[in-house]
Formats: sequence, C-alpha cells, structure tokens
Amino acid sequence: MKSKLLVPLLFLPVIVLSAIMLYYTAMCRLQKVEVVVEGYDPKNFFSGYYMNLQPNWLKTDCSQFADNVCPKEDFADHYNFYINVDHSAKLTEAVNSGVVKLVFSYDKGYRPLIVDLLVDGISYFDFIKAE
Amino acid sequence: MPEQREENYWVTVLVYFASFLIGLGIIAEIAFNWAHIPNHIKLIGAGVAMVINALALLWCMTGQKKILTQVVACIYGFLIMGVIGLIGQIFQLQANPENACLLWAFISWPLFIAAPRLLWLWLPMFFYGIRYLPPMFDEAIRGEIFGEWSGRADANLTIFYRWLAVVGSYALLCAYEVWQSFGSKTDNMVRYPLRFYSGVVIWGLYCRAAFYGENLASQWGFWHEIVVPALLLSGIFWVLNKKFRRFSFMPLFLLGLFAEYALILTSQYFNAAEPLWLRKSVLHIASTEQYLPFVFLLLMFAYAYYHKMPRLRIASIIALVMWFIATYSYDMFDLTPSLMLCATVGGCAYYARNRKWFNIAVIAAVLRVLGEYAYVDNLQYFGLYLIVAGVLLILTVLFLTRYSRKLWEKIDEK
Repeated sequence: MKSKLLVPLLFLPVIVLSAIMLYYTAMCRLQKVEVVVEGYDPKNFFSGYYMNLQPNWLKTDCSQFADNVCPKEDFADHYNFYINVDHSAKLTEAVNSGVVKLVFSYDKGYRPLIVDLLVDGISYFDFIKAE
Repeated sequence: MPEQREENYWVTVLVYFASFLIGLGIIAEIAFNWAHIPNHIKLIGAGVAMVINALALLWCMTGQKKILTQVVACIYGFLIMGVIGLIGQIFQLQANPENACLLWAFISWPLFIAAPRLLWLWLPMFFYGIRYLPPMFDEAIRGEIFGEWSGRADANLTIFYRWLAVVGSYALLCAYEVWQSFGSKTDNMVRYPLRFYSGVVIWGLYCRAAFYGENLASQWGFWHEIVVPALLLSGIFWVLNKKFRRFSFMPLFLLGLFAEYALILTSQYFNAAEPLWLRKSVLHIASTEQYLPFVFLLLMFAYAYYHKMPRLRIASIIALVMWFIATYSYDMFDLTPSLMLCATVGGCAYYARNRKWFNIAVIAAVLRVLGEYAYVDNLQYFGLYLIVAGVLLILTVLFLTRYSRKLWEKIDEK
C-alpha cells in the first residue's frame, strides 16, 4: 500500500507545477492590452534585478478596454518586471527617456498577467538586441 | 552500534549540505545564462528535470541506497524551489520569496517520506517562508475593518480564505495531537506531514508576534484568533496528554505563545516604562542571530552536565567564556574566534571520547571556512564556487569517515 502511494506522492510536485505552468500558459492567450508605465528602481538581488514600474493611466489608451473605461481597480499600483542584470543600464535609460508600455494578457474577471514590455513600440528583448 | 549511528548522522548532515551547495551552484549557473534560453525550453527543461529527479529518487529508494536517496531527495527539493522561481519569472508573477516557500511547503512534503531528516535541515527555510502569513492576515484585517476593499469584488472571498486559514491552522494542531494519541506510531506517511505542518503553523503564529508585535494589541481578532484558542487548546492537549500518559511539547508551545502575546500586550499598556527591545517586538532578527550561538553553547553545557561528562562540561564552559570575550574583542562572526571555538570544542570532545560533539565541531569549522569565502560578485564564478565547494565537502566526508576510524582507534588505545 505504502509503495503504491509513494509513486504518485513523489510526482505530486511535478503534477502541481505542470498544472500551474499550463494554467499560466493558457492565461497568456487572453486579450492583449497595453498600459503606459513609468519609474524605475533596480532592487532585490534575491531574484536578479526587477524594474519597478507604475501604470500611468492618464497616458494609457482606454479605448482598448470594454466601454472605453480603464479598469484601474483590476490592476496593481506598481509592477515588478524581471530583467537580466546586464540589460539594466540600457533599460533604465529607455524608461527614463522613451515611451514604455507593459503588455498584459487580460480579460474581465481575470488577474492581468504581464507578457511583454514595449520600449518605443518594440519588445524590450528586440530593443536590447538592436542596441 | 550507537557509534555507527552517530557517524551516519553527521555524514548525512554534511552530505545534505554538500548537495545543497551543488544544487545552489547549478541554479546560479542556470541563472547566469538566463536570457539566452527561450521560455518554452526553460519550462520543458524544468519539467523533464523534475521527472528525471523523481524517477532517480524512486530508483534509489527501491534499491535501498540510503545516503544516495537523501542526496537525490535534497536535490529534488531544491529543484522544485528552482522551478517555482522559474514559473514566477517567466510569467512575471508579482509574488515574493515567501510565497514561493509556502507553495514549496505544500507540494514537496512527500520528500520527507524518502528522507525524514530533511525536515530538520530545511526548517530555517520555512521560518523565512511563513513570514508571509502575518502580513497576509494583516492585509485581510485592514480590508475588513477599514473598508479598503469596499469596492472590490473579491473582498468577501479574501475574508473567507482568512477564516479558513485560521480555523484550518487550529484544526491541524488538533489533528496532530489526536493522531499522536490514537494513530499508528509507525505510520510515518501521516505522522510526518502532520508534525511538519503543525510546526509550520506554530512557527507562523510565533512569527506574527516576532515580526509584527508592535501593533498586535490594537488589531482586530487579537483575542479571539490567538489568545483564547492558544489557552483553550493548551488546556485540552494537556488533559489529552495526561490521559494517555504521553509527553508533548504542543501545550507548552501554545502556552508560550500565549505568554509571548500577553507580554506584548502588557508592554503596550505600560508604554512609558517599557524597555526599547520590548517596545518594538519580542524577537529581533539581529539579537536572534547573536543569541543563538550562546543558547547553543548553554544547551551543550546542559547536555554534558546531564550525561555526566565532566570533560565536555569543562569544554563548554571554556567555549562560553571565549564566546563572551569574542563578543567584546572581535566582530561576533569573525573567522578566528569561531574557529577557536570549534577547535576547543572539537579537541575537548576528542579527549572526552565524544564523537558526536567532535563531529559537530568539525562540521561547524568547515561551514565557517566555506562561508568566509562565499562572497563572489560574478554569478557564474559564484555558481562554480558552490559546485566545487559541494564536491570538496563530499570528498572531505569520504576522507574523514575513513580517517576518523584510525583517529578514534588511537585515543581508544590510550
């Protein structure tokens, strides 16, 4: 009995984490909305470097949401965006000078999930490569 | 036979630590090359690595490879934590390390069936993880009382989760005590997780006092969530233990919790006269770090005294005196006084023919030296350092387990 239970129990982390991965992969396929963000604060060595970004609702195009209203209450006051430490200097400069947007996968009733960071309209990864 | 068991114990501890270093090193190496790996490859790779690790663990367990089982279980545990971090980073989840530790706690407990001792090695990690519980409760309280969430659709649901967590925590403590009295003593499958999560709950409650003691008395729910249940449960458990002639630390833990909270409350009533250390919180992280070695030495002295070991008793007194001097003369965690302490304890334990304390002294010295050179700025070199340190540690264990026999034979001959 014990050995029969052991196999599924040892695979419990694999099952749970795979389910979480699939869930978030599915969540990334919701409608994409772009929110203008500003501010930068490199911190927290524990998980590499994060950009601390605040949504700027005044500059955000609210027509992309239902009823042309920005659902501010569904979004957080600030977001941490993970970046590689090597790119922090370039992105700091970009955030301070250009128009930066966070792309969320979002639908009413779901928590917005960050899928990309746009610097002057292009993905931050392509922006770094181009630089 | 007991000597053999003691030797296995410290070998296991060192091997755990070495596998911890290797696991951490691998994580650091992966982290260094992070940006160059596509996300889907990272996720698939993580899943495959977990499956391989689980299969390896099963193979080790069925093959009765005891030490290897514990090493693989340890690496599996770190891999699980790594994958949690990976998911958090790839999907840009706005979670904190405490969240990750809690998720880890809920999914990786089956590892303790493979390697029960892992529980004791990983408790400090949980101590960090459950720090997430108090702010989670406090946030819910703020939302409930001050109406911060009045416009939010999920406010009622969050309050419901909070109550579920409070009731569930106490239900878990009761389940553990009832199992201890009525359940099968040999069924570790139920006993270990119950014991583990009861410990997590108790530590969570203690942490609430330790880190958020300042504002506790003014918080809603202080009495009917913590103080009254702690008193009530300690009484019930005490009666239960007495009836079944069993000794459990649980009533003492709960009474201690009550005392800690009562202390905070009293200190706030006598605000003007209270000392500074009491005013902020009962436990400070810095003072915990300072006093832990001291408490450890006191325990050592008590151990030597209880087991009538005069030489070790003297050793512990010398160590205590040195600790006392070291706090004045050097930085508390400077390498020299630490190694001197280890050498004194190790030397005295050797002449007292106490292998356990000798091994503890050696372990402490090795960890201290490794810790001293662990600060490397570059993540790639840091990862390499950790892997090399882990491998060296395993080689040292192999060397010492063979050499120590000759060492002890020499002293036994005298």
